[in-house]
Amino acid sequence: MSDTLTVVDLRDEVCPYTFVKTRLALEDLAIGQELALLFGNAESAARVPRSLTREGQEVVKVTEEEPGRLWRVRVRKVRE
Amino acid sequence: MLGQLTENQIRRYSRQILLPEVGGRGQRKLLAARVRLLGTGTVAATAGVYLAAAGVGAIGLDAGEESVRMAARMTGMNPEVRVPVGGGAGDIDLAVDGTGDPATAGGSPRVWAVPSGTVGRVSRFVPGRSACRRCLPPELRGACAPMSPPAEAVLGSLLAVEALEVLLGIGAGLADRVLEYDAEKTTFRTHAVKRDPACPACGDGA
Repeated sequence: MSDTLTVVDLRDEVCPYTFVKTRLALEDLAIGQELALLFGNAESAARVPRSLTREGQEVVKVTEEEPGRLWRVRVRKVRE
Repeated sequence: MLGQLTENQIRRYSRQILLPEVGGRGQRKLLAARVRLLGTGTVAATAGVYLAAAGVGAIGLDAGEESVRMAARMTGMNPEVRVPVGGGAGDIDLAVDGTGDPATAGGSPRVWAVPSGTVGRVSRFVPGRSACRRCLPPELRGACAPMSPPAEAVLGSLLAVEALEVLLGIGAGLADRVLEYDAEKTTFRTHAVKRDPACPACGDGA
């Protein structure tokens, strides 16, 4: 599915806009497609995956790529 | 990308966008919607402020001084919406009727609220499908008589909720039902009603 991977850079965003923009980005995807989300703060990197899971989406992987500075979250859209 | 909403729109409507029944798609529907808001009393003024805050794109008001003041409050709440006074909203998706005037039954899709002393009523009219105000028995049609301003504001809020549901296309809401708010007893109840095919305002021969 790497050819359909969309990267959304939310490094300069804070909650709740990280989640609002994640939801908007997911709306544009078909079921089964994935998004890569980039976060610049630990709070968003923890809260957005929790919220996505609560809403029934599949969080594939959370990686802290640069300690304390950059997190990458991969999510698969499994429902509208 | 990001629902084709601007950065300002995402920030302004963020709480609403997070509602599952709205989202980016619903917000775009609201931004593209055109309504006519009838009346200038507390019911209409309250509904108007909430519709403006929700980002309903164009909200046409009746002509007159009170409408000019209402328009200023609405655009003060949200400068992004258009609030033409004395017509100008063009073809409308919905009439939001806070006048209590039975002469405004029938016609276009409509949500309406009527204050009648201690009791207020709210309903939805879908042309050709659900009951309009004239279809109703007199006891549910209600005569327009002021309620206390905060009770009228409750009606205005209910009217705005109903209008947003119509514009978003979610739920049948108050089609073929009248919601009755009794401010004295502090009760809400709903009455099932039926479209009258012989109604002079919306019936098959109208």
